[in-house]
Amino acid sequence: MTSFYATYYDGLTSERVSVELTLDEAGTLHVAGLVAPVAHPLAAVRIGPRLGSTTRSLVFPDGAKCECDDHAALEALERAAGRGGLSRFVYQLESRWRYAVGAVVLLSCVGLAGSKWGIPWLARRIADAVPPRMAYDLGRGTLGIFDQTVLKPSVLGDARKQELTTEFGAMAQHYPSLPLHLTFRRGIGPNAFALPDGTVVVTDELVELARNDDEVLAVLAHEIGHVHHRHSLRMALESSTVVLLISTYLGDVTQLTTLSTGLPSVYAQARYSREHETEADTFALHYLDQCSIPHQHFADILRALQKATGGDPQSSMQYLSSHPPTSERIHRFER
Amino acid sequence: MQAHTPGDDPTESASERELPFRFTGTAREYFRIWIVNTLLTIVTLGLYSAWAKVRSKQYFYRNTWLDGTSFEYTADPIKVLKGRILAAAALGLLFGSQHYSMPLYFCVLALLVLASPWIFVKALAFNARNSAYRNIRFAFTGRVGEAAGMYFGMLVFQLVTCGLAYPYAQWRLTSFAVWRHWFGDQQFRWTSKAGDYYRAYLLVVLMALPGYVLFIAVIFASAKDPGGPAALQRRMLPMLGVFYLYLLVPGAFLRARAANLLWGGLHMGEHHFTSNQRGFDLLKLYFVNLVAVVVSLGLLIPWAKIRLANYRASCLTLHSHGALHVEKLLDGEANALGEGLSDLGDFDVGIGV
Repeated sequence: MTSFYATYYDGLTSERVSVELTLDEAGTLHVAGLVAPVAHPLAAVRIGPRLGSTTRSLVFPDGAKCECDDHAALEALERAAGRGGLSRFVYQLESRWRYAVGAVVLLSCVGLAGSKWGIPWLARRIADAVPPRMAYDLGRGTLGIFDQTVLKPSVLGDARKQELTTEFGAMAQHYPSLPLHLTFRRGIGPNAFALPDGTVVVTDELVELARNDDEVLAVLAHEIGHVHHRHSLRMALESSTVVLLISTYLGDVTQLTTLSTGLPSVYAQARYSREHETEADTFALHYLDQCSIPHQHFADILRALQKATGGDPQSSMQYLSSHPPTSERIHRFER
Repeated sequence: MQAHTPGDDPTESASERELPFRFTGTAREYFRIWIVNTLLTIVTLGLYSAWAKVRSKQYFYRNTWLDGTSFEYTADPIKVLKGRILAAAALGLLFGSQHYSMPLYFCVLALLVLASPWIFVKALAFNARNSAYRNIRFAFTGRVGEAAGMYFGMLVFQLVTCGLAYPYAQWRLTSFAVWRHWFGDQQFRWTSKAGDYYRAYLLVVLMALPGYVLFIAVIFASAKDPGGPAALQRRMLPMLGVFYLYLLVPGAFLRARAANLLWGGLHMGEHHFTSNQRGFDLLKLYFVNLVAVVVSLGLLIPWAKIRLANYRASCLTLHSHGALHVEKLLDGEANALGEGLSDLGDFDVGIGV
């Protein structure tokens, strides 16, 4: 026989009535204090989950409700009804500082390990599973968007294009499993990039900047590295996962969102991007070795690019840079 | 149904009472709920987020008190989860199509824009239906057609007036949202005027203007400097940071004004609300919250949210004339008003606060 006090709301009006609730041996919950006594079998009463020290409610089958702060009595009632095991477990987790501290530690580990290994691993797995047909569509789509926005048609002479395409074709024969394809554009300064479908885009400005074909080929080898490692797909997957995770963590702190989701995501994406660049550099290094082309050509074109685009950002900004410091990259190729 | 009129009892109708809202949540308690929510959400790959959302919202509702009773959030996490899966699918489609083809992307985008009045109405209805006080539910009875007409009408109006109609559109939208809300059998009324919105926005534009002018001037000045794009980028980043901090000022004043106009114009039966948030107070809150959240790498987010809820509640008062007596909206009436359709999920739609 347990008795406790609660506030009763009939659900028809906003009037409140103080009542005394009693559970009898037969499992019936009696409500005393109303105009006429009311009783419900405990099995039909829904007991709201416990949440911190907040008021809990008992919902009766007729839509009436009791609100109560007597947490000991409510827990006894819940145990008598044999329900609420899972929500009691969550409440336990939420009510002890040691679990909270444990959660912070676990969350930091999951966050650090996840961003260092988990996300790149997952992205690689998914990228490898993307069917070629989809990668083809994605590549075509992206190039189409670039063509409509920033890229202009190449004005390079046909003979020069033909020369480079032939040389690229010879390179591509080393990687028969990759659907490689070279194309020329203009309008974004000296640059080259790779798309998911195996298209490598090189700009007129880069071809003009290079002092010899080996320099262009070294850059193309780096881009083939991006295709080989499926970097563009992985980057898309990695950055969307990071944004998703950070927004989950930060939740709806609306007045803070722009800066607080923006900056960590940019930082994380830049880090993944630098890792990809290093991977592509390694790939280029191997290729140059294979074909006995001196590493110096890649170092030379990097130096020329650095000069043309205004140099590296200062050291404090390197964390937000999409490429590793050019001096480090050059150093790798001059060793 | 015999509707209760608050003038029935002569002893009650004469008495005006000031009933302040009180917030009793604590950062210590909410921190533990928040960290467990976050961990379980990540461990379950997002599935727990629906339960996390409901628990978090219920914590804030249950700790908001008016006249000796706290509010209650009664949403079923499963329904919230369904809504989230739907939203995730829509967003996934949008971002996926972005990489595929432009026409497809714009088709998906257009569909989402067309669906936004529907989302707006469903979200308000879901939220109202699952909000209760003294076991009487709130309700939102706006219709999708009505919302769509107003929403797209306002969009065109803003385009035609080059954005000058923006405050008016905000006022119209808020007005629609407020007038279609019920607490039990009592419909809310709203007395804030479009002119009040224009005054609020004028103040904010005047506050933001010097910042924008200075920012643009500095960009032009530094664009002339030699050093190429990398050097320009280098100088831009700290400036963007300063500019962002500066924008907290008009942001805080706008939010304070908008909250005061929303709550301060609210009437229900013989009762009405007043809200006295101050831009300067809110600015201090935002600034300290921002610093705390950044320095603690997010761990002080619960503390920041509790502080904000505390301030908002402390500024809100219900002036009641007579007893706070409300009756349940009859089920028949409720269904006729479209309440039965509102079981989709929670989307947070802001109406200016």
